[in-house]
Amino acid sequence: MLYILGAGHSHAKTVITNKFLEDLDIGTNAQWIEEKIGIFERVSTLPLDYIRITRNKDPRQAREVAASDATDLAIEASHLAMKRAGISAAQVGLVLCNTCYPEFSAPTQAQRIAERLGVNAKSYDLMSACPAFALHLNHLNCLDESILPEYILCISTATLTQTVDYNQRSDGAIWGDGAAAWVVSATHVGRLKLLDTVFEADPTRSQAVVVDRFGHFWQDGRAVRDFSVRQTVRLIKRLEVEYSIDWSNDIFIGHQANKTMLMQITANRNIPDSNHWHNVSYLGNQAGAGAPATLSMHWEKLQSNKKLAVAVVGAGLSWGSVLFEIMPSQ
Amino acid sequence: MLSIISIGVSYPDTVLTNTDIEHYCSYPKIREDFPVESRRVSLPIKYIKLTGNSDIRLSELVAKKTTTDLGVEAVLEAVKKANIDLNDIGVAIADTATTLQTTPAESQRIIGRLGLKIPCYDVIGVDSAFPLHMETFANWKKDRLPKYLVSIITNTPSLFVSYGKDSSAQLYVGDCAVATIFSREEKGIFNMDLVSYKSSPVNSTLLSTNTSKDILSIPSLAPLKIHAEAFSQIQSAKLEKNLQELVSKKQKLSKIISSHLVVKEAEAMVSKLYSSASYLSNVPTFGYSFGSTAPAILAQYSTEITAGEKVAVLTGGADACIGAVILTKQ
Repeated sequence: MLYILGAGHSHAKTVITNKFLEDLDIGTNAQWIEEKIGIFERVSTLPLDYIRITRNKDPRQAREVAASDATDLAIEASHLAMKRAGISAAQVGLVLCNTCYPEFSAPTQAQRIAERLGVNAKSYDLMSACPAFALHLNHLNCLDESILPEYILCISTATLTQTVDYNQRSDGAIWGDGAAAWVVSATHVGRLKLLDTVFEADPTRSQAVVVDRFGHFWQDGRAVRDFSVRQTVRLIKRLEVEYSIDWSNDIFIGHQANKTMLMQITANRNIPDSNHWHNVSYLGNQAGAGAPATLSMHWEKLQSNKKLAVAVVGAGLSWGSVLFEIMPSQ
Repeated sequence: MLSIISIGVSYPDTVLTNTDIEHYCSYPKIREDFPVESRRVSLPIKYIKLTGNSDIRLSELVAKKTTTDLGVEAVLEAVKKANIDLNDIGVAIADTATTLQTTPAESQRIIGRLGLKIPCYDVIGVDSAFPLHMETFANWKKDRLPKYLVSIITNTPSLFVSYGKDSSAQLYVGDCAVATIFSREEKGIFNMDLVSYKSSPVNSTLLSTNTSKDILSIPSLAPLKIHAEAFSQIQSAKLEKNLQELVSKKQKLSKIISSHLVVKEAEAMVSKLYSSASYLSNVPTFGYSFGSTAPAILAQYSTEITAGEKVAVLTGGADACIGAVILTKQ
């Protein structure tokens, strides 16, 4: 049986407001953004002046001017996760990392993070963009528990604002930079007991969401949005039936793509606002970090005798769900 | 028991010889006993001559084969050799150090092109991808295991290398993809006796030193760099460590495979530490392709290995990892 013992998050510091995007004069305005995607602000590793002047025409420049990178954010998130789990870096036996926009292909992101944390253990990248939280837990859940180390550190980190073409009216409104980390154990009981994991994909649609190595982010917005809502609802419905979910008591976290989409989903499933945890409205879409960062940001609000369902969708196209029982605080 | 059912390999057709490099890249005379005589590249030789691939962002436009193309071909060959239907594959994982899109995952690009809708994601182990993938499949819980699984390791470093008088990477790298079909239910051409994948990021020469980036780095937005002498020293150290472990385990091996840049150095080490085994390589003819290299060598020589013989595939180089697989030919 797997448990999450601690979760952490870290976000970029520069705030991009809807007014800032409106002032770029690219055919968008604050009202349109708020109505369409329900995001008021997002955070970026990029300086505002850089965005204003260059529109990030050449993403290579973005790396040079960024205040922090995906590794920096991952380190901070990892420290918080380990602190909440009550462990030191030396106790971590495996590091898994997901990132949509690595700085290097080799050495891997996981190894770079492990080295900076002082974790001298097995570490590799395990990647599927936005559904990383479900992928990592499903991957671990598929493995024979007897071979798992005592503590596993999972991380998802991305600085996707560095891939945005800020001359495009919609792309700049979407992304925010952030990282999340979570400590997993099959040996020790933690706050979250893993009940169910799913990870699936339809890669025949893999070109619907892309980040070109040397170019910008692009997506077929309408198709991706429809897919996201439908797939998330399907994932939730299965959990409702198989695990007798009661939304008056249990908690839902969705993929932090946009608030409007999440509201559609919660309306469809009658999930009250009080039991819907999210962070996208003021941080933007943090890719694979969004959902676990939401979990981390609500960590102190975890109450036992509830279930927590996480449904995530994204590039690949891939999707997954995770269901937890929230355990008493120890 | 994890079995290899089949291995498919794909190389681009273009052969870049040392003479080509001297003529087209204004490279100083390459000595006759240089460890690599030729390598397979995806770029047209005319393009290399005219541009030196000075802007690696353009290489995809002219490449005869991309990382994904080679991956698709390798899978199709593996399926054909396995005498199964493509739709029999239940899950796919992939590794690459040379993706052209950082999102979606390379596995999703390849499997999408093949028209399959199966769980697929990237498990990045760079040089040690083969043992990492095998370890993953070997430790999968039986009730969650499909009948056939595929590991795809695909690299086209030639697209990310500068060709000119100052670049040494061009002398070593070649392009290659390998797809290995595994099963835990069915007998295959090789049975896995042992697999090991270990990382030690802290104090890794490739991560923590000031000169790390000069020894080997694959930045996402800049040309690939290899300092061959320093890198082959790292490979030698890992090969020696692997061989000493094999000696201590008293494995009766007849063949040893690794992706060492300098075959003579590897042969000498094997001869010294494991005289009963012969060393197999194809790096002098095909070049070095990161994680694809070692399993491609295994595929090339698989028909020459007789039933009952044990072969070790030893990995470790472009990352902070070291891996080993011992197989028995069926």
